[in-house]
Amino acid sequence: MRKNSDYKNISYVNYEIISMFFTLLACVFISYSPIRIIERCGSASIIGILFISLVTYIIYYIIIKCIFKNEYDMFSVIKKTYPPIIQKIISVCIYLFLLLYSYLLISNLLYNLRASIYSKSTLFSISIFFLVALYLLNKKGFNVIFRIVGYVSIIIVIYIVFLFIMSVTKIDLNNFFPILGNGPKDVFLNNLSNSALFVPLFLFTFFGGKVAKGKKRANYKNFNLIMLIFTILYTLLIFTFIATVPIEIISSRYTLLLDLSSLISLNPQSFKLVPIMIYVFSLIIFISSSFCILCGLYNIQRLNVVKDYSKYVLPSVIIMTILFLIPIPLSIYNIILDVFYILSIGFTFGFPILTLIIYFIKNKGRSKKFMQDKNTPKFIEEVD
Amino acid sequence: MSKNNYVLENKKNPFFTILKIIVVIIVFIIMIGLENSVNVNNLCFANIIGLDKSENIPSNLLVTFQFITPKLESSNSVSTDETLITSIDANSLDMAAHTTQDYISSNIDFSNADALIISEDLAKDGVQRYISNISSNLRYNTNMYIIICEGKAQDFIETLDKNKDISPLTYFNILENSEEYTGSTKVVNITEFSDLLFTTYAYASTPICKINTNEDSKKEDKEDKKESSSQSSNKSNSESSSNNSSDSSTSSEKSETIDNTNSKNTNTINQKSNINIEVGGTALFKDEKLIGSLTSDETAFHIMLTSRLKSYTTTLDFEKDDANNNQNSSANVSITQTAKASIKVDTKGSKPRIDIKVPLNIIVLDTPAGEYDYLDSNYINNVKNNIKEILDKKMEAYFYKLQKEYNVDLDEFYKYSRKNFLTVNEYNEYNFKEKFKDAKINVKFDINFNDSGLNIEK
Repeated sequence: MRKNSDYKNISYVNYEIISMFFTLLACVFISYSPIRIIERCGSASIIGILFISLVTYIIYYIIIKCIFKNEYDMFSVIKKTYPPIIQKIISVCIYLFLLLYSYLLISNLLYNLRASIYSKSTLFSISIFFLVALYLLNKKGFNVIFRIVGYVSIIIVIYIVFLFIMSVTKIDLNNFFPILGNGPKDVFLNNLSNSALFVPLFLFTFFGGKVAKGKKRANYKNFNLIMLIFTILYTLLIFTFIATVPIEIISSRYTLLLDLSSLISLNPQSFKLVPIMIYVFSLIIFISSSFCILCGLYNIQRLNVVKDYSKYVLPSVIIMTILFLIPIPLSIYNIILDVFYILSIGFTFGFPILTLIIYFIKNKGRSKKFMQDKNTPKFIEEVD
Repeated sequence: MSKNNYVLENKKNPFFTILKIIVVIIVFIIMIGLENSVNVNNLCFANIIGLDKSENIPSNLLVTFQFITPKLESSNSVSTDETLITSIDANSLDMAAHTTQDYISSNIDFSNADALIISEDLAKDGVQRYISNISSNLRYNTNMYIIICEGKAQDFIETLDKNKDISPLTYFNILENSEEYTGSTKVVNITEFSDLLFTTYAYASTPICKINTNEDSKKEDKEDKKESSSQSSNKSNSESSSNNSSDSSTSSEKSETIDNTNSKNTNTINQKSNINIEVGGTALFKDEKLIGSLTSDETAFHIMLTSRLKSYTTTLDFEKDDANNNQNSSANVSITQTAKASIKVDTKGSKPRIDIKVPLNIIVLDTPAGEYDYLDSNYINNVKNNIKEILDKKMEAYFYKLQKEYNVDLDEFYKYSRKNFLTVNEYNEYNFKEKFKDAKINVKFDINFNDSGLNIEK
């Protein structure tokens, strides 16, 4: 019987995987991330975002090439690098990290909603609708999420472009000066800490080169497209922010996209963008967070902590529910965000690089053998 | 195939089934009481909010609301004619709204509020704490206009409400038109205003509104006494405006065409219709406090420099006219700005130098000359030169007021100066804000005279 949780049954076409990872990355639009970048770089935020995108692109291009040229996915690399006990510890760490990530994704949106609309509700009472839907979607597995996201990802692109078009009349190019913002040190060096927003790229290494219906394409080509689309849209968004709102105000705000959406409207009586923003980003964050939880579960299955991850969907959702039941004041929430930023850089950049270095030291010359032996079917591996 | 895709191998655990049922029950319990039906007769929309200083307790506010209470009529249509005005003494706007809710006995909705009117006295003490609350709270309409009232905001709202010719729903939207067609006001919504208020280098500004009580009867009395000073009577309430007072009345009257027409017709019969409201001019803020005001005429120059003046009709007084030997003569002109003003700020020297070029299109509507003088090219050139001179002088006076009297960089020249610096630190070291009052400003009008009909030959 075909099991939903078997990694060989995960199927997607190129369009779907690009949509999925673009959607995951697009969650930062509503988060605190744009404000962090603008706080660091000032009026040079566009240079800042282009710079960290470029740096991330170069690093991840190398990581992805190293992983997919030699092995099926990240887990195969981990398996051949670390002893079993460390593998299990790593997988649990990754699982907890992804749980935290999806908690932050949802709570970010909920804090936004509570600050604006549901001011009388508690965080838990809004989150319960999310969590139930999260559970139901996660039960269906990866394939359903890939199908859905193929349809919805285009909404973000439309929304951001729409936001840009509507703000065209309010754009003031003088806001982009001084051209180097807070100085080259802040824009190029300190700004590197903001590359934590690329956490989803770590999940990209979980999915091997298996593509449905024979439409196979090298993974790094998908990766190029993901980075290109994301960088263009994020730059467009930051451009719209800075061109319409003075920089000094941005740094004091918390719900930036909400502010921008409420600022940009055709006239007081007509169309308002806030409700649309809430619909679009609720859907996107809902899909992204369920994908993250599934990835965390998939990871503990692949590294042999559990045999079938689908049984652990409910416990994960229950852990999330408990997290939402704990009332967290905003000051502590900001500390959690800071800790998360440091953790993300570790997981996104530090961990794969370290693993790959140990892998190459351990299996010196292995990749050559792998390439030469053309008769062996690719990527056959027993999951024990 | 599709079913096989997500079938689980193991038998279902009863623990999970029970948990699922519990979750479903919890969701149903949460959903109880989510029905949301609205009775139209219970609705109440706040349309205008007025803030005054309280007369009883100095730290308190006198908050005035104009409510619109929609009523369901027999033909299933909803009428919004009924308005209600209440004034409450409270220490904040939220407290006032809370107290009002108690005896209005319906939920007040602020999401459609049109305008926030703050009295002059209150604005002089600082407005930041009222504005930051409203602009960051989505309960209020973040696009509502903000206006400073000469006199009490309560009186203004009551006068506006009494005037049956003005629809309270649309009155403030007319202001946007007045910016476009008269240049006497620059409308600002509360989000833009709070943005300017919290920006270090920027200065906020709002339109000014006031009540002209018994304007026409006063006019008549004064006309009897002094024939020459008829123009200045319109500006009885304003403090400043030495040379430009005559122009402001013409431009600001246009924005209030609705009530003006009625009052002129029936001024002797009905005492109420003499009460006249007016919006025109600009209030200037520095460090969240009201420090002064610009006249309607000066506001046109402000619009000229920051955005685009679409249409502005004014009377320009010539000091001496050679052609007719009249002591005081004037020309009525219609000014249109053809493109945005090009502004360059040079920060090389110790004092900044600002070069401004304003392209204008001017139509001379009429001059005091006789019919035959229009064919005299010398006379026409004279008129053109006079107009140029007067515009230059007015602009000079405008900058004198901003630089020397108030030291306010209202036209946001600091933005243009940032182009000369690489980093924020360099820019902060230069301290443009301090140096603005010594800046040398050169304004060049690029005037293109257009003929209106046969008035001026080509």
